[in-house]
Parts: sequence; structure tokens; C-alpha cells
Amino acid sequence: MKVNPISQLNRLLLILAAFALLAAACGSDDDSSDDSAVESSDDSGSESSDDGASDDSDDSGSDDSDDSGEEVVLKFARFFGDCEEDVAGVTDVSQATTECEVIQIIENAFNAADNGITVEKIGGQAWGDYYTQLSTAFAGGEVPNVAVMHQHRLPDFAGRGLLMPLDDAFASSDVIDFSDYTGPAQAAASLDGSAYALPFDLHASLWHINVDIYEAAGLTDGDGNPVMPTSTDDLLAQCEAIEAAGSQCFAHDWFEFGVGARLFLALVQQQGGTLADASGVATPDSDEGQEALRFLNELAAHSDPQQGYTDSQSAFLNGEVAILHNGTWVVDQYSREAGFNYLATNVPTLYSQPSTWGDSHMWVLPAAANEDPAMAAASIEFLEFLYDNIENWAIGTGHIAPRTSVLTGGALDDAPQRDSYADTASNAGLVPAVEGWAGAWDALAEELNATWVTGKEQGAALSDAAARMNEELAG
Amino acid sequence: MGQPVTNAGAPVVRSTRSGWAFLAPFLVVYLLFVLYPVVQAVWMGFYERDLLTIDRRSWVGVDNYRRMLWGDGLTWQLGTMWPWRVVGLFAFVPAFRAYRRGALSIRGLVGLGAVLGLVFAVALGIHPGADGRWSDSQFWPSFGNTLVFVIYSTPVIVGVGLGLALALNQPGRFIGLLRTLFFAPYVLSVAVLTLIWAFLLNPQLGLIGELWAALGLERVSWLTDPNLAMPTIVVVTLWWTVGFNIVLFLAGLQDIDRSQYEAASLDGANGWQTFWYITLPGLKRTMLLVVVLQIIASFQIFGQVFILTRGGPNGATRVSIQHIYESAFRDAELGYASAMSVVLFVVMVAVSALQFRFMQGDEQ
Amino acid sequence: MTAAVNLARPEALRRHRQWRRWSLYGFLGLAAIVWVLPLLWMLSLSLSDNEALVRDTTSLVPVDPTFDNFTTLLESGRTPRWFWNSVVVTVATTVLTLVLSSMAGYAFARIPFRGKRIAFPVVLAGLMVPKEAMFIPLFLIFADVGQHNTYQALVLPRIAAPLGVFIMTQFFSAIPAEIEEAAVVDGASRGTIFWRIMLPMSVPALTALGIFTFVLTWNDFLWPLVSATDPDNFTITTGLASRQGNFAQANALGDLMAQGVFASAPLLVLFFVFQRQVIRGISLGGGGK
Repeated sequence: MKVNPISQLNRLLLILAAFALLAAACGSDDDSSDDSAVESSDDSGSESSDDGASDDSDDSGSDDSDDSGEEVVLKFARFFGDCEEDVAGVTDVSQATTECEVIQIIENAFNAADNGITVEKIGGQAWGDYYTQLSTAFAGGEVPNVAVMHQHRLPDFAGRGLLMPLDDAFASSDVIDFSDYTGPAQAAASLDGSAYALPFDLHASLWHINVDIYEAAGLTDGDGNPVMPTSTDDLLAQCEAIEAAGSQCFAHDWFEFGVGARLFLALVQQQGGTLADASGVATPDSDEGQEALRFLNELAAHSDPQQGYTDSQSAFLNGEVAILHNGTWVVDQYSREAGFNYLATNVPTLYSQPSTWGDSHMWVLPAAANEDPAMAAASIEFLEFLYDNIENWAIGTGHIAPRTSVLTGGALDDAPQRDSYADTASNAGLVPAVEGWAGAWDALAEELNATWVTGKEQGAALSDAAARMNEELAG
Repeated sequence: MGQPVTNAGAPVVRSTRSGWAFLAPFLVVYLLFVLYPVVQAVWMGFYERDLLTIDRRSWVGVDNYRRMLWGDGLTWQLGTMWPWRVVGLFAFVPAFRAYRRGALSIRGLVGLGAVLGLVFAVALGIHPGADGRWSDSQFWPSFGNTLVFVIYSTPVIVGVGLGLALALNQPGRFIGLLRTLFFAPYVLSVAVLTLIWAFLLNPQLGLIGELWAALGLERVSWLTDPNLAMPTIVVVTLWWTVGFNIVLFLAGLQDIDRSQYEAASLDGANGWQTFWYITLPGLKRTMLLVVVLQIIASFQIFGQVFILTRGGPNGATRVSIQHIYESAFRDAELGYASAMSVVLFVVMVAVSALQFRFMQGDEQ
Repeated sequence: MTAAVNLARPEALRRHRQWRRWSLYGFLGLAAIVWVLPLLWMLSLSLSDNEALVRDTTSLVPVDPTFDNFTTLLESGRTPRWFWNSVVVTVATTVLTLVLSSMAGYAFARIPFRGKRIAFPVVLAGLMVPKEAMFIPLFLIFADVGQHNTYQALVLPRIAAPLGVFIMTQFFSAIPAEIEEAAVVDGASRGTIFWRIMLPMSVPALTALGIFTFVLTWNDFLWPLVSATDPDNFTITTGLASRQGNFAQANALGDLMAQGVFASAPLLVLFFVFQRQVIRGISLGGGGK
């Protein structure tokens, strides 16, 4: 019986096994075990010192602290990506080139300041999985001290009493002035009249215009500015002109990320309607909803319903499309990359009142991690720092600053295009603040998509949407 | 379920001790980290349990199951879904022939007949009436989609796996390279897989679209056409996972006695006869393994579908696990998600039990 | 086909067989190239410039070729650490899985013992439980003892793999009983039989299981995501995912593909090295007639 191959394999396996088990045993000593998320741990010493030392990699769990005894460590959960290495030691926010870098530099600056608090980012996930991870953290009882949250998710967490109410903290803060927030921002951060979050931005849908195409279609005014349509018929007429000039009139993501549903929301709200009534029952099949869907399908005929997010953007940047319905987050990118005369502007009012889809990135304080007054105070101090940096965030990312004083104070003057969509700050329409909205929205998006992607009958789509949305909201 | 072949006549008492001794290390870890969570999950199915406030829970008994499986205003009709029902009832024919052959007892025949009748003649006739609806409008459609996927994917991925394994079952550096190439997609994570295919299949941005245009064909939207989406997912899954079956079949082919092949070729048997009378019987155990694993994997498909189509278009590719995942993590309904998992589990157990019975029955 | 060739002319037979073999090789080679085209495309995208890719992704040849995507990856100080974490966790999981599965498989395949008829189905049932259902209870087990962010949290849940037991059971049962009986007659203990007979004769199965376990553990995402939340403890999968911004597939496609290449390449190399073991090993004379 031949034993050579097996002895070889045996030996290899034994070596690997020993090695791996050894490494695992030794390795796990280095890991900071996470069971003290709630306590203020003393072992962080003085990291992120302010002489620009860029060795962030011994940020977590280094036990060799000559600690000041009072250093508070905040666990900080956010999406936006991980670029700690790329901007290690940088505290000047004007050097940021991406969303991630802006927030990371803000973090660096806070850590570099002499405030006795260190912020540690936890978690690492691609965008789609943030809430899976956050929900699991809540389930497991180890929640961060400060976390980011979308407005459309706030009711789920605040409604269950998982977030610390912030009215008192805002009132007694010398830095934060809640009344400085615009109307939509204040609404976004509140539930049942109490504030639970600190809004960091408003991000909304805009229209990105290829002005050259508008000009070729004869739709610009004397100064060369494109003339925005003022009614649905006006828009359709514009589309005819644009198509006669050889370009695609309109593009957006028709099925990938629910952008179609966002335009639906905007059109419903422009007619003065809502997607859910006062008691929280979903009403997509209202008269406004039916009209909005009818018009969207007409618009689809002047667009390409097989285009998703990436291809609609690609077509726009290649100069094939006159109007791209996308968000605030691409303004700086398009300003850099568009090879044509580019304008970012508010979604025009096609019915009776201005409105567009908007959401907000906000900072919340999970209650379980902030029961200790010292931790809560540290978290609030970090919030105050973030409040002061709203301006930098808006400049660095293209999202709309939610504070009136920032919008009117001239800080954003140098950032490209901001003036052209300034109105959106007050026009942004948020989704209804109802628990369970995420599931309802997915159902709505799927039913709407069915009409322009697979040709489902519009009345049936809306009544199915209503039934499914209410199933989600009730469940 | 099935019984693995054992040694006849070995002393039993000592064997029992040594049997459990060999099993013990596995069993300890299994009980702690697999069985215990499973039992907890099953138990959770009787509660309403919120993911975010997990300490609060309320007993609801079988309400979760009622919500999942039932609805209001349901009626019964003979004609509903009649193609599926007729096909299902046809399964009685091979069963009857097995009975005549003696492979199936009269009790087995009656039992099978009763099950088939219950499922296909009766159960499939239930559907919402004019004003009625299912309590969970997504459960049955996603279950149906899952079944469709299992039925499409299993023969394809097993068949292609077997074919490629046969072709690659030779020594040599070059063949080794080919084996690596056919297996290569398996090493991709689901995130990278879906990234590649989302772009490949994109009518505007993808290579396949380019190829189609070059051939003069109209660009096809593979993932947004309700009729093409599921078959496309099958193809993607085939590309990704057939390597698994190839390797298992290759391993299984090694156990077939070479001398049998030599005898066959001396007798002048051609390729097909060799395959049918020597290879295939020799692969019996491996075939059971591969088919059972494939069916179980197909029932639990999730990652690539979710990322590629999000369940669309219009729910055409929403599978059961997606519904479970969304219930647990998006809607925070842990109890309900657990109950659905139990139902899926029961179905898989039933199907596997049938397979073991029919594919390994002769070995008893 | 063979029957059509006269056995009395071995020359012709040999040439015919060679022709068949080479045409098979040729066909397979062609099929293999088509098969890996998507991977070649991935490689090409990983060597292309991000901004150029926003406009055009249909080229098999890199657009604006650059190594930037890879250098960005490697510049991250944490990447080696993440890679190391993946290596430790995956190797430990693979070895332990092989050990536990082969022992259990041997028991089920070859040892008659009381309770086997119940134990086997119970073990197999573990295959059929959707992972998403067990996820939270498993998470809570580790959370309650404060053992998240450790290697053991990433390894322990995975090593009792019903898949492994099922595979090993099937392959052990294929080994002819006579070999084992001969050893028993010679007075060998079960342990010796296991170590010196069963294991050597199932190298293909062990290799197959080892490969599967390695790949599946390396690519595991959801569990390391929620368990190892400290950035130093990320595996290469979660670590690379954490570096993505929003809509990364629209704006940073080159980076994403480079990450994919980087994470998959070691697995491919490993497979190429070990795949010979899958078809080797059984010129052991064959136990039967």
C-alpha cells in the first residue's frame, strides 16, 4: 500500500494545523474583546496625537497606556467607507477628495483636539449592510455610542425607544441651535415632536442638465441658461425638441435603487398629496399617485427604462442625455468629469408646489450606550463638533447643508453649482415618518418598476402597492 | 433517512463505544454551535420577537404559521394551476411501476398516493377569491420561485458537472490546468461574482450586449425580462458552482475499479455502454451525495439573486431565503422569519428523505 | 466508434485514439477559454482607470491601463493584517473541519453503533437549516460570553460541518470492507485502521472537502461582518468591503475588481496546487476483484 502521498499530505496538514492553532491562540490575545462597549475604557492612552503621527493602526486595543485616567473612548458607527489609512494624520478638511475622506478628517481633527475623548470607528461594511450590522448590534446589546442613520430609518429605532432623546441636550448646548435647521431637517430629526438626531445633511434628488443639448434643442434663454419646464406638458414638449436634436431626453435609474419611486414621491408631493395619510396608512393609489404614475410612464417613453444606475450615469457623462435625475452626491464628480456645459438644478415644479425626494444623514445616540452621564456628555460633545463641521461636509460632498445660517452665510460660495440647487434645501420632501417604512418602500418600488419595465397595468400596480405597503407597515 | 453501509458481524458493544468516541468531537461542537441555535430558532417561530428589542417577546403559538400559509377569503377551484397539478399527479405512474416491480410496498404506494393526492389534487387548488388575499402576499410566490429554481438548476448543474468531470478525469499538466480553469469561478465571493455578471449582462455596458450587437441581434435585457431572469440566474449559478460538483464527481470516479474499464474495452464496449453500465453504477454513492447537496443548495439560494435582481422584475426572482432575510433584518420580525425557516427546513428534509429512499434504497 | 476500428490493426487504433484525445483536448481548451472570459475581463477591469470605466466597460483590454487600483489596495496598512486574519481563520477552520468530519464520517460509514440511525439524520439535518435563521441565536451565544472580535468566534461555528460529514461518510463507505476486515483480523484497533487505512485511501475526498471548506470560509462575509467589528479584526472580505464608498460599482469599478482579484488569487493558486490530489491516490491496486 502506497503511503507516500498521504504521509506528505499528513505532514503538511499537521504542520498547518499546529501553525494555525498556535497563531489563533496567540492572535486572539491582541484582539480587543468587545464586551466593554458601554464602559469608558481607560486603556486607549493618548492615541492620535496631534503632531501628525500617522500610525493609526495601533488605534484599537493597544494596552500600553500611560493613560490620563479620564480618556473616554466613543464607539462610532458609520457608513461612507473606510479610508483611515488614506488620510491618516490629516486634519485639514480642505484636502478631502471623497465623502469618506471628509468625515474621516473630521474624526481625525476631533481626536487631535485636546478634549479627553477619542473616537473609534467600529464596523466595516459596504453600504448595503450597514443596517444589518447595526440591527445585529442592537440585538446583541453592544451598540455604538454615536451612529449615523437615515431619516427613513429613524422611526424604527426611535419608535422603539432605542435612541436617546436629544431635546434637553440641544437646549442646554452652547453650540447647537436646533432652530437654525431648515424645516425639512427639523422634521427629519424628530418623531412625535421630540428630536432624536442631529441632521448632518439633506441629500436630495436633483436634475443634472447637459446645457449643450438644451442649447442645440433651442431651449435656452438669452443668457444661455436652460429653461426649466413648468408643467408636465411643457416637459414633454421639451423632450420632443431634444429628440429632434438627436439626443435622449431623460434618464435615471429605472429599476436598480428605487430612483423611479423617488420621482414618484416627488410628483405626488408636487400635487399636494402624500404617500401615507395621517394615521400611517399607505396611499399610493390616491388620485395624485395615479396621475404621477401615468406621467412617469409617459416620461419613460422619452427615456430608456432598461437603464439602471450605472448606465444612466454613463450615458449622461458620455453626452447622450439631456436630463439625468440623480442626487446631490455626484455634483462634484460631474463638475470634474463632464466634458460638456453642466448644470445641477432643482427638480422643476411640474404641478402646483415645489418638492423633490430627500433624505437626511443624521447622527443618533443609542440609549443603551449612553446611560452613563459621562459617556452621554462625551457623545454630545462629539455631536457639537459635527454640528460645527456641517459646512465642511456640504462643501466636500455636494450634499445640502441643513442649517439656514450655513446656507445663507456664504461659506458655500466657492463650491461648484451650490447656488443652482439651493432651493432644494427648503423643497426637499421626506418620506413619511412611519415605522416599517423600509419594507413598504421596497414594495412600492417593485410595483412601480413593474409598470415601466414589464408593462404591468398601472391601476393594478397601485392597488397591489397599497395592499403590500400596508401589509409591511402592519406587520 | 438513509443508512450508510456498515460492516456485518463486528462485535457491537465495543463498536458502540468506539463509534461514539469517533463521533464525539464533532458532536460536541455540533450540539453547541449548530443544534442549539437551530432549536432556538425553531422555538422562536412560536413567538413574535422583534430583532431590535430582542428581550421583549410574546407568545403567538401558530399565528406565524397561519400568517405565512393562509389568508382571508380563500376559495378552492379545480382549474387553478391545473398544468402543475396534472404533472404532479403523473408522478404516481413511476411509483406504481415500482410497486409492480416489487421495489415499493403496498403501504409505500398508498402513502405516496395519499401525499400526491393531498398536495396536487387538493392543496394546489386553494387560492384567494375575489375579495380575498393571502396574509403574506410574498410567501407563496417566493416559495414557488424557489421550487422553479430547484427544478431548473438541479439537472443542469449536476449534468454539466458530471460531463466535465468525465472529460477532466485524466492525469497531465494540461488537464490539470483545464480543471483549474473550470473550477476557477468557485473561488469568487458572491460580491465579486455579482459585480462581474451585473456588468456582463448589462445590455449597454456589457460584453454580452456587445456580442449580441455584433451578431446583429437586438440587445436583450437578461435580468429585467420576467421570462429570462430566472434562467439567467441559473446560468450564473452554474458558472459559479459547477466546480463543486466537478470535484466531487472526480473524487468519486477514482473509486471505480480500473480493471472493470479494461475488461469492458476488451469486450468491445463503446463509450456510451461503458458509461451506462460501469461508470454510472460506480458513481451511485457520489451521485446521491451530489444530487442531495445540489438540491439543498438550490433551495437555499439567496446571495446572487438578491444582489443581481433584488427579487425582481416584479418579484419574478424573489426566493424564499430573500423573504426570510428581509423579514428578519429589514422588518425586524425575527419570530416570523424563524417560522418560515422551519417550513423551508421541513420541505428540504422531506425531499431529501425521498431521495435517500429512492436512490439508496437498494443498498439496504 | 472503437468497434468500427479493426483490432487487428493496432496502428490505426492508436492513431484513432490519439486523434480523439487531441480533439477532446482542443474542444475542452476552447470551452475553458470561453468559460474564463468573465475572469479575464475582471482582470482587465482591475487594471483600468476608475474614471475611464465610468464611461466604458465593454473592453477586454484594459482602458487607460494602470496599476493604481492595486497599489491603493496594498498601501492600506491594514490589508496585510486583514489577509493574515483570513489565513489564520481559514486554515484553522479547514484543518479542524477535516479532522472532525473524517472522524465522524468513519463512525457513520464503518462502525456499527447504537444510535447511529438517529444520529446520522440529526447531523444531516444541520445542512438543511437556512443560515439566516440560525444567525441571530448564534450571534447571541457569543455576545453573551463576550467572545466577539476573536478568532474563535470566527472558527468554532463553522467546523462542525454536516457537509463534511456527509462527504466523508459517502466516500468512506466506498472503500471495500475486506481491507478493513483484514486489518481487524490482524488485531488493529479502530484508531490504527482509521489512521493508516481509511485516511490514506480517501485522499481525493479529503482534498475535495479541504478545498471547499477553504474557499467557503475565506469568502464568508455576513458572519465576520457582525462578529468582528473592530477594524483590526476584519477578514480580507469584510476589510476590502469596508473601503467601498456608496455606488462604488458606478464610480470605482477598477478598485472593486482589483479587490476581487486580490482576494481570489490565493484561492486559485491553492486549488491549482492541490487539485492533483483529487485524482491521484487510487492506484492502490483496488481492494476488490
